[in-house]
Amino acid sequence: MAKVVVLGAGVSGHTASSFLRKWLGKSHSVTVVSPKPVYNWIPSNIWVGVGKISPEKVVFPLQPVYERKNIEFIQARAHTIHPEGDESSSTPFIVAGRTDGSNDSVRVPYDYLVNATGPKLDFGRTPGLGPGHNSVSVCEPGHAVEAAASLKESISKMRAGERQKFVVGTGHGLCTCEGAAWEYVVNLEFELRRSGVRDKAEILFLTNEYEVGDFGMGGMHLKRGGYVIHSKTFTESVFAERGIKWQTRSHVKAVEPGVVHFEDLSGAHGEVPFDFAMLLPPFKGAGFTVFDKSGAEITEKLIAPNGFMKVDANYEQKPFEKWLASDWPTTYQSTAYANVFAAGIAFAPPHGISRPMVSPNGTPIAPAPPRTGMPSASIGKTVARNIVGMIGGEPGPRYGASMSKMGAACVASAGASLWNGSAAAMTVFPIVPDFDTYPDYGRDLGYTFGEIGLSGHWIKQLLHHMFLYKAKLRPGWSLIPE
Amino acid sequence: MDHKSSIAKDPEYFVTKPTAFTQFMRTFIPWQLLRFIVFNLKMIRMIGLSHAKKLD
Ligand SMILES: Cc1cc2nc3c(=O)[nH]c(=O)nc-3n(C[C@H](O)[C@H](O)[C@H](O)COP(=O)(O)OP(=O)(O)OC[C@H]3O[C@@H](n4cnc5c(N)ncnc54)[C@H](O)[C@@H]3O)c2cc1C
Repeated sequence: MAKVVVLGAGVSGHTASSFLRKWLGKSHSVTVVSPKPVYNWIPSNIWVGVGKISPEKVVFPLQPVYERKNIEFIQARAHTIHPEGDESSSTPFIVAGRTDGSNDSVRVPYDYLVNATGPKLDFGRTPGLGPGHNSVSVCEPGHAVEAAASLKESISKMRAGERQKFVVGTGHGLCTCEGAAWEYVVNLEFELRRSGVRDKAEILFLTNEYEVGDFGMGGMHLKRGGYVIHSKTFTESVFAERGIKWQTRSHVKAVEPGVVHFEDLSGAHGEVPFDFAMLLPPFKGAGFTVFDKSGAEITEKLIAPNGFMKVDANYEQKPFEKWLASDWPTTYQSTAYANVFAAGIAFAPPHGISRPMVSPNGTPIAPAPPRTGMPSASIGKTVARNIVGMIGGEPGPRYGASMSKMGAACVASAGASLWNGSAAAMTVFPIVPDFDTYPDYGRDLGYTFGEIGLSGHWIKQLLHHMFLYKAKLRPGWSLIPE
Repeated sequence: MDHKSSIAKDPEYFVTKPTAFTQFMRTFIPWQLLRFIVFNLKMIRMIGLSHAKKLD
């Protein structure tokens, strides 16, 4: 009997544990360790953050789902990994602190470990950033509720005749997830228009991207109207059409009440005043401490300095010109321990995708590489498939899911209304550009595609319901693609 | 002369914008129904390409 432990019940971990349970025989056990009692469909947090839907619509309790499917659920936050066991036993284990109110520590032994702990929201890296400080966020449902309340307050002030300044974007020079910030700013503008107060609002999109539309992946090229056009064109067009200003190449260095302090790529420092600021935090990894059998710390064997887990990627430090698609991991297996895998955002990327940039003061200002929902789920499924194979006697992983060989679809909402809403629906293939295979643009332009319209909003709605249905493991769930 | 200097200062002046026809088509239901089908087909094709690949 094998015991598989999955850390994290987000897009990647939940997909991995669901498929592990489906494919493994009853004699094997699947345990999920995760600190929150609920599953959160994060992409729809955007709509919670503008007050369009309630937070209950984007979460559901995990325990009943796992009970029904015979998956053990431990509500706890893992903090240490002992991949060689300890002096009393050579069975590997993790240690987690319960988050169900008891505050106990729990030791969970494993034969196979999947680390799918996603990002740790690193608000602390920018003084004054984030909930409880001077700006709001939409990364968690609770944050999104606060953002919606703050927006409502601004709308009331505008109804009373006051003008309001909105700043939306990235709260640090090394943030990722620019797509989410983009979605939020256009949804916010849409809601202001619907509330009849658009004329009282100034909206600024403040980003670390070199050009808008980069999204941490160098942007994408699309065939349109007889031209090959960069996503910058469409992104700027959406902003210009809606009267949203944008400021690129900016590192937010501090957020004070009502003022964002930034440095830009030219090295200049400046300030932006605001009444409402939604700024995303930079991400880091869960940051486990790792011990060997004797109890000596060996964290760096498994974990990169940014807290993400090292896997089968090429981590050699090299200049942008030498970056290769093949540097990206294929199996997500740890090279130190063959029974340890990292899926979704939890794996350490070999390097960025967008070109790294540094200001004359030495401040890096460039987006970190994104790992969106679709690749996170595909990676979780592939890791599950490989573990099932290894439990069945395979000597190692048989399947690969490199982000340089996989595409992604992303539907970015630009206004939530069934009849006059819209969304930008995009596909890219592959996610990580491969200039050896596609020398001109790094991607296959036949499969890299995007357009804006109401149908995009219908797709976004469809995905919201479909993925929540799938995550609840309702009948036929495994037939719904990742 | 005045309007020229304001053009030079306004970054939005240099940006591609949709025509009224493009804007109309974005919410024109019959066209959007077709685009809904087309995008879903494209997405399915791309998902097919992105499945986990057996390693050699
Ligand atoms: C606002 C927003 C909007 C987005 N919109 C889109 C979109 O439209 N389309 C898209 O494709 N992607 C979108 N994304 C990205 C998408 O949410 C991520 O790609 C996806 O959630 C990554 O999955 P994951 O499983 O790696 O991480 P997560 O989904 O974050 O899951 C991590 C899990 O690990 C748990 N965990 C954390 N620490 C520990 C620990 N120490 N021990 C145990 N468990 C732990 C967490 O509680 C959570 O359950 C968006 C992201 C944000 C923030």
